[in-house]
Amino acid sequence: MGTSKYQGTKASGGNQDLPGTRDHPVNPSRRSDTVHIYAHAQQCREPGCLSSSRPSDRKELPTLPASGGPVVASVMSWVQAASLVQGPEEERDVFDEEADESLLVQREWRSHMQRRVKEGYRDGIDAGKAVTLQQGFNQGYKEGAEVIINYGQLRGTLSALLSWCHLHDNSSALISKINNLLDAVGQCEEYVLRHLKSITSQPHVVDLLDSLQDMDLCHVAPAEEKIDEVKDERFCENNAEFNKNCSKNLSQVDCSSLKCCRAQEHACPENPSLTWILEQTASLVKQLGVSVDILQHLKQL
Amino acid sequence: MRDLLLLRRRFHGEGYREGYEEGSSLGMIEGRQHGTLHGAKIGSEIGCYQGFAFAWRGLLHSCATERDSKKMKVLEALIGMIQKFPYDDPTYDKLHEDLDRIRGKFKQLCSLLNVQPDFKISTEGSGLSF
Repeated sequence: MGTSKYQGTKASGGNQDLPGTRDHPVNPSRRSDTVHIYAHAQQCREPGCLSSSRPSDRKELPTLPASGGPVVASVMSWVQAASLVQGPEEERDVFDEEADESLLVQREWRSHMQRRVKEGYRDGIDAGKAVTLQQGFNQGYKEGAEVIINYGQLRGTLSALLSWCHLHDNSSALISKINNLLDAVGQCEEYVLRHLKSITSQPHVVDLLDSLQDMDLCHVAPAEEKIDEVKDERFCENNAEFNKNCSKNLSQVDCSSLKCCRAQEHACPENPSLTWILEQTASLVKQLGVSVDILQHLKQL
Repeated sequence: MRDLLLLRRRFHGEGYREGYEEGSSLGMIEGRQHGTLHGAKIGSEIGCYQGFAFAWRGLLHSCATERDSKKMKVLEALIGMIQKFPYDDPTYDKLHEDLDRIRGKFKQLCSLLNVQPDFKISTEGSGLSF
């Protein structure tokens, strides 16, 4: 039945827009695809539907001969039909003869369209990335600069004290003490920087935790977290930041809550390591016989 | 045939939309990773100059003879430049220009003070390539 309809289409040929017509220059495989599509399209339609095919399609193809219009218009319905075919058995029974053939066509068609979806996906990834890369860069830049500048200030201050000591021939004990503090600041800075880097790849860790929970192993995760907390107690301020950023990544939420959190962080003095270095620096300044006021700029730390 | 093209476009479009969302969040993450490193480098460098300059200002203030010296003027100039510098904004159009001026002023100050601080700042990539 379908075959005869297809032949009918061919007979009415002469229209260059129709693939499957004898002189249309399409490659053989593509040609056979479309031929099958057209044939099947006819199978899937009730004879009555042929005459009532969508008028809008006809408008788009005014040059088509009367018999050609419905054929082209029915490609769409073929796709719809094709997606149905998998399910209901009886539909396949109706076209028993061409069942194998049409299955093959469906598979080809589906894989072709899946390829199109994948191509679109790839294009979409590139386009989406292009839009947000700069935005993410700016955001990360700001965060990195704001966090690390504090460590830089401390390092610069200690360097100033060190050069002062060198100029005034202070005791080597003081000088080595400053050098130790400088090393400590350097370590803190390095740690925070590593931490910042891991914040940015946080979603993967969250995915991991999610799957752990799915596996009903959730008691493992908090335990690990605790160990981390003990280990990194002196950086708990940054842990807070870490968690905050993680939730931000997940929900793409507003910055206002972030700023709010940050203000709270400054309020509570929760960075023992930095505090310790600051204390040491203050006592050092006193030992140098200079007023502690010279450390005023570090008070915000 | 035209319907076929439309259909191909539609499938492509569906994939595109999904990819676009995925790409958007990927770009955000990737961009932030790079941005954090560059921002941290510049924050570290500027913070160093700032801490150094403030501490030296306090130290010079403690010696009566130095209060109006040339050193003090250069120091104040450096502090002024640093405070005007938007260190957390990578889109600032005079970023390189201003950073170079700050570095130059810092060197001038160091030679005036006759000190050579060892900052270990990696100037080759400090927030300059993006």
